[in-house]
Parts: sequence; C-alpha cells; structure tokens
Amino acid sequence: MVQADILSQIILYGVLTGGVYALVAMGLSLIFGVMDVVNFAHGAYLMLAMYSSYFAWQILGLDPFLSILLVAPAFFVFGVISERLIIHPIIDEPDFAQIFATVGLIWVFENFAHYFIGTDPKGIEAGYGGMSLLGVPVQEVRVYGFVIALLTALGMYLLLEKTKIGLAIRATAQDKEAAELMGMSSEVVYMVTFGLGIALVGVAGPVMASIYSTTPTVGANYVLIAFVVVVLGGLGDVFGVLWAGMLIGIVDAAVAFFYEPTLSAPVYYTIFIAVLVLRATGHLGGSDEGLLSRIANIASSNESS
Amino acid sequence: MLKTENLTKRFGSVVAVDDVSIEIPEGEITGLIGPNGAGKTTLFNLITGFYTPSNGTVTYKGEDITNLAPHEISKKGVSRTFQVPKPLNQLSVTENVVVGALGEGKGRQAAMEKANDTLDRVNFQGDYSMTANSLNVGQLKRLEIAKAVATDPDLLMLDEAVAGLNPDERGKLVNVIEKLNDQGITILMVEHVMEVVMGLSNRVIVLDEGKVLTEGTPKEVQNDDEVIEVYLGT
Amino acid sequence: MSQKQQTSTDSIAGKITKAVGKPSGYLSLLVFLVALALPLFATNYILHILILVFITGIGAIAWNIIGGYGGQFALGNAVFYGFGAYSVALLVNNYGQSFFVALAVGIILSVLLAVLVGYPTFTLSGHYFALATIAVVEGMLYLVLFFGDFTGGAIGQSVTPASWLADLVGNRVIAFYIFFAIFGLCILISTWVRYSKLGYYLLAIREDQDAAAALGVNTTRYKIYGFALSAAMTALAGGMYAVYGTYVSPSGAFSLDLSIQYALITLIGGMGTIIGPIVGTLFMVPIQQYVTTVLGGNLGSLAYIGYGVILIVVIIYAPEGLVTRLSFVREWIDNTLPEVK
Repeated sequence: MVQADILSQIILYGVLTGGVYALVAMGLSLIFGVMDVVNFAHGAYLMLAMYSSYFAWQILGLDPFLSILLVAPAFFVFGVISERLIIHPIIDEPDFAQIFATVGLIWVFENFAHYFIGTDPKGIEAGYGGMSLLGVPVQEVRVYGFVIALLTALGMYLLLEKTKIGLAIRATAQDKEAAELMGMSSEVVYMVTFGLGIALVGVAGPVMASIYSTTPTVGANYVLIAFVVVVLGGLGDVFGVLWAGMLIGIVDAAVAFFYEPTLSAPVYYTIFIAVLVLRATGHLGGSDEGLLSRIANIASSNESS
Repeated sequence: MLKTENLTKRFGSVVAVDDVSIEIPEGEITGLIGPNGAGKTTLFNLITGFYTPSNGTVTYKGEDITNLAPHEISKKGVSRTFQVPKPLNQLSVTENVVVGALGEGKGRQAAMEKANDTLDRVNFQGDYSMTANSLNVGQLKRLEIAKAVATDPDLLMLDEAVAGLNPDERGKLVNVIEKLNDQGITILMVEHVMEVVMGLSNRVIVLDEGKVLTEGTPKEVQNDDEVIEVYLGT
Repeated sequence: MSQKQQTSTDSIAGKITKAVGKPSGYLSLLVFLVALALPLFATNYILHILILVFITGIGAIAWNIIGGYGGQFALGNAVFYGFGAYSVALLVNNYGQSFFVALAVGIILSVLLAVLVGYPTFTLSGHYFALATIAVVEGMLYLVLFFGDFTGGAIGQSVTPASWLADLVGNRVIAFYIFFAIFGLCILISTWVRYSKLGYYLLAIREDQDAAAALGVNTTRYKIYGFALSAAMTALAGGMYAVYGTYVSPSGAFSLDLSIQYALITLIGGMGTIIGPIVGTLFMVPIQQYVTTVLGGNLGSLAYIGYGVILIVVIIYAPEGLVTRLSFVREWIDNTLPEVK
C-alpha cells in the first residue's frame, strides 16, 4: 500500500515541477496557436535564457528571480529580431521550411554555447534552501518558480483578454484575413506574438536556471516535455497549458518514484501519442482544442443535459 | 440524381448553410447562384465530404453519402473543381491529370493516354509537357476541369469555372462545358457570371444567407422580385 | 496546336541510347564506371567513407519518399534505422538467428511501427506528424536505455555476424560493391515509386491534400503506404550498418540528429526529386566526416554554427535545393560537349 503522505509528496512535488514545465511551454503554445509555427528552437532559446540568468548572477551578482526583469525584456527584443530575420520571410512557406529554419537555429545556438561557454554544467547558488510546504519538505526555488508560473499565466491571460494587442492577437489566431480586414496588421501581430513567446522563455529560463544546472543541450530535454504539455493543454490556452503541465509533472514524479526516472519520458510520449489517436478517431474534437478543456466541455454538457 | 435534405452547417453561431433541400436532375446543367457569403462553396464542401453537416443528409443515386470521406464520394462518381485552381505545381500538365486518371486500377501508360485524351476533351491549349506552375489563368481553369473529368464523374461540380477569364476565353469554355454535358455528365455549377449561368443552365437555384431563396428556369429566376432585390438591394 | 507529352513512342533501348549519347548521359556513365573501378585505386579509408555515403544515402532516399514526394515531415526516421540495427544485433547475438531473418524482423517491425504512428497522426495537420515522430524516436531511446540488460543500455553492444558474412563485409572492396549494389537498388525503387501510382498520389498530397482527396485519393492510406516504405528502407540501412560497423549504440541508432540529418541532406540536394537525396548525401557526408573526425571538438562546433546558418539561408533563399542549380551545369555540359551517336 502506498502511504498517504508519500502520495501527497508526489502530487505536491509533481504540481510544483509541472507548473515550471507549463511556464516553459507557454511561449511555445502562444506561438504555435497564433502563428501556426512550431518553434523547434524553443528549447535552444530556453538554454540561452538559462545562461543569461547564470551570467547575470555570476557577473552582476543578480538573484535569478530578479534577473527575470532583465532577461524577459531582452528576450522580447531577441524574439522580435528573430521573427523579422527568420520567421517572417518563410511564414507563408510550407511547414517544413519553418521546421528546418528553427532546427538551424538550434544548431547555431547550441554550438555557440558549446564553443564560447563549454559543456561544464553551470549552476546558480543564490543561497536558497529548503522549506516545508503542507508538511512536505521542498526546495524553496521550486516553490518560487511555481508562484512565478502562476503569476505569468495570470498575466498572459489578462494581456490576451483585456488589452488591445491581446484582442488583435486572438483575432489573428482565429482568422488572419478577417483580422486584417478589421485593420489589424498580421505582420505586427506576428512580430509581437513571437516576441512575447520568446519573452515567456525569458521568464522560464531564470526559473529553470535556479533549479537545474545549464549545459548547451539542456533545452532538448525540456522542449519535448513542452510539446507534450502544449498538445495536452491546447494551443494558446494559458490555463489549459498550466493544468497540462501539472498533470505531466505529477506523472513524471509518480513514474520516477514508483519505477525509474528514465521511464517517465516514454510514459508521457505514450500519453502524447494516445491523445493524437483519440483526436484522429474523432473522440476529442478539433486539433487546436486542448484535451483538458475538451473534457471539461464534455463534463459540463453532460451536466446540463 | 443528387438530393440534399435539410442540409445544415453551423460554424459556431454562424449558420453558413441553413436547411437546404435541393435536387439535381440527371443529365441537366444546374446553376447555383447567390451573393458572396450565400453559402455556395460551403454547400459544395458539404456535398463532396469536405465538411460534415451539422444536420441533414446527402443522397446520391439513392444512396446516403452524407458521412463519406471526399475520396469515397469521388469514387462514387461525384467530382468537383475548386474556386481557386489547385494544380500540382511541380508536375507536367499531363501528370496533373494522371492523378485523377489513375483511379480505377489503370497502369501508368494507360493513365497517361487517358490524361492526354481528357486534356483534348476540355480543349486544353498548349504544350502538355509544361509544368503546371508556368500556366496562365485560362490554362489553369481548363486543367482544373480536366483533372476532375479524368476521374470519370457522372456528376461534375464546377466552382466558378469561368471566373477571371476574358469574354472570348469564357465563350470557349462554355462550349467545353456544354460538350461534357452532351457526353452524359450531369453538371452543377456555382457561377458569378450571370450570362454564363443563364445561358447554360436548365435550372437555377438561388441561395441567400444559407437558405434556398428560389429555384426555377433561368427565365423565372431572372424575373423573380426577391432575386432582383438580393442582387440589387443594399 | 496542342502538343502531347510523349508516352511510349520510343522503345526502351532507343531511349537509353539516346540518353547515353548526350554529353550529360555519357559523362554520368563515365562517373558510374569510375565508381565501379574505385576499389582498384582508392584507399580503404576512402572506401569506408563511400560505404557510409551509401548507408546514409539509403536513409535519405527513404526519407525523400515520405518527406520529399509526400511532403510529410518525418523527424523520427532514425527509429527505423534503430529497429533495423538492433534487430540484427539482438537476434544474431542473443538468439543465434541468421542475418537475413534478423533483418526481415527489423523491417517488419519498422513497417508496423510506421502504420501505428501514421494512422492517428496523418489525419491531423502536418505539425502533429512531425511532433509524433520525434516523440517516437525519443521515447524509444529511453526504452532502449531502460531495458539495458536486454539491449546493452547506453553503451550498446557489438555485433558478431556469422563468419562468412563477417569476412565479406570485413573486406572493404567486397563491402564497397555490396553496399553500392544495395544503394543502386534503392535508387531504382525510388525511381519506380516516383512514376507509380503511389508516387503520383504522394506528390498530389504534398501539393494540396484537398485537391488530391477530390480526385479520389485516399490521402491517409497513401501517406501510410509511403511512410511504411520509407520505414522499411531505413530499417534496411540500419540492419546493414549493424553488420558493417559491428557495433550498435542507442545514441547512434535512435538519434534525433540522424533523423534531422536525413531531412537536411534531402533538402540540400533537392526535396521530392529522385536525385536530390543522392546529390545531398555525396555532398554532405564527406563534409560531415571531415568536420567531426578532422576538426572535431571546439572547431567542430564552430562548423556546426556555420551549418545552421547555411541551413537557414538555404531555407529562406533557395528552398528548392542544389538540384535545380545543377540543372544549369547539365545544360552547360550538354551544350558545350559534342554528342555521341
């Protein structure tokens, strides 16, 4: 029998980790949902954001959580420049062009880090320790990371729902032509969206760097989790991504505890494929809709009928 | 030959096709007209299986084809063209048509010959070995029809076959459509150019805001007050 | 007046004589003959590189069938390479099966996996297929690591084929001819596919899925056929590498990098053309060998930055690959050199 306190530990640990996974996935979800571009270099941007935070700590002595205020705006600009140089010229090309171009970016970024920084793992020691949450011992950085993930999700929600640019982004995601007829330039919207997506990476990077150490290939480990989270949570659906991230976090923690950490990856890839199978056989509705919101819809429609 | 009953398609709160029940008689040319956004192309997509109806049925030769996939409907003998031609850009003109001609277990050689014959049938002007991305509008329109005809349809659905052509080319294409009809192909055509629809069609169906406004002979439709209002009104 | 595309007026023999008579034709024949005679004067190292070219080339040709002809962006084809390689390693080593049985098992498993992955994902939009294939190759990598007792884990395992086979592939010259022949066979298959019903349907699907469906093409089914064929050929490459390299490792077999490389090679050469993956392989594999073995280490990563930049520039400015550039060369050769009757 599994003891209740072990179970609650797994869930708490999973939720905290999952919130950070969701934070990593938010930018990917936004860009995929609005622009229909799968940014395969998402993990490579994350790696650069982690290093940025590391160097901000090492050189300027900046706390990783404070460095978000520096890294996120810088990455917004970085995202806008990337969009102009690489995504914009091929936005109307077939899918493969975007996939290749972003894969090319991975090579550039990873090998840049490899050449100039080297492969030694870089960890931040900002003096955070352990704490007790609901009677369970956890690292402080994970708790703060989770809080930042929640705040970011809320911020993104407000930005998308309550601001003018948010309206333009949502309109463009729905129907690009119609939005243009209403005077919203998709060119500007795409630029801002990509910038925002990369700025979200700029938030996630410092959080990740405070928990994990950074290497040139660290992004690859997390970008696949991010893809799974996005497919589960839905495109451009901020809270869907948050729930999905926590779900994956709990699965991750449970598999690692009961079996083997190496098995958690095959398990969530299996979930991923299973979601695709269910979608393809028409059990889960359109491909843009998140699994979780879909289940919620089905549940609420059952209630009302 | 083809019948829709209470066919309805909703996109969210918008009803694009609203309770449409029409019948396409065998051997005739039926015109489908209506202002922009009337639901003509949506109706095409419903009949050919590209959209699943929210409600209603499509029957073809007495058989319910409502939930069949597009390729299955094509195999039954219903073929369509697209409003914006969709050529296979990297392939030659003949090879474009071969894709349709390969349908019923033909070998490549036989399909090539059939493709060339079909191009003759639609009176394609130009070198058949040109790649499709070098064609002009008139050639693209013919190619689009040839591809559909190569599948040996009994019902051919043309979505704005003459749009974008000058009056001279238009006249020639009208002759091609008449010839195909004489050869036994039933035709349902969406068309904006009134003289073409009115000249070719045995019967005309008018759609407005997703509903059937009226139907009848070209003459009846032209004199219908409601139709005139829809076209001339605000 | 309309002018019809030639169908079957020339006899096959006539066509061949005509093609060889052209300068580009007889020069190609010359290159082929030189390639056949290579073992007479090439060093073992050069033969080794060429064998790697053939093995990688088979994978690229296979990728081109689903990715180039069909336009379906498979990013996990290494999983089939891994199935081929590991089937041979495990069945030959642990179960005493013959190489051919082991290879056949690897190919069959790959085809099954392709159907399993293709069926659900091909009905969704293109991105999901790409993502699913990545998930499969990454997931399989972890499984190979997890079942380390059986697979050899992260270190991998060496392959000891029957002695006659070991002798054959151990001789560089014989190995060269064997791999050359299989490479040639794969080129023939790829050429045949291009002009078959499957090929036309895949091209139609790539250009416009809706248009293809309207012409009666069961798009999901033909994408699965194309993917399955691609999987089978890639498994063949993997199985053959296992006996030639006499070693399989998870990082070499189930690697996302290898999957991307197949796509990259084909892109550089020219996607969707018969010779694209061949030209791409001849161009890229020697360069990569040079970068990794001669430059290595830090300079190697500088070279990869260059690769990345080239890849992005090619995608933006020359997405049609090298082949269309090469057609100028062919025209120039045909126009300047004399014809042979």
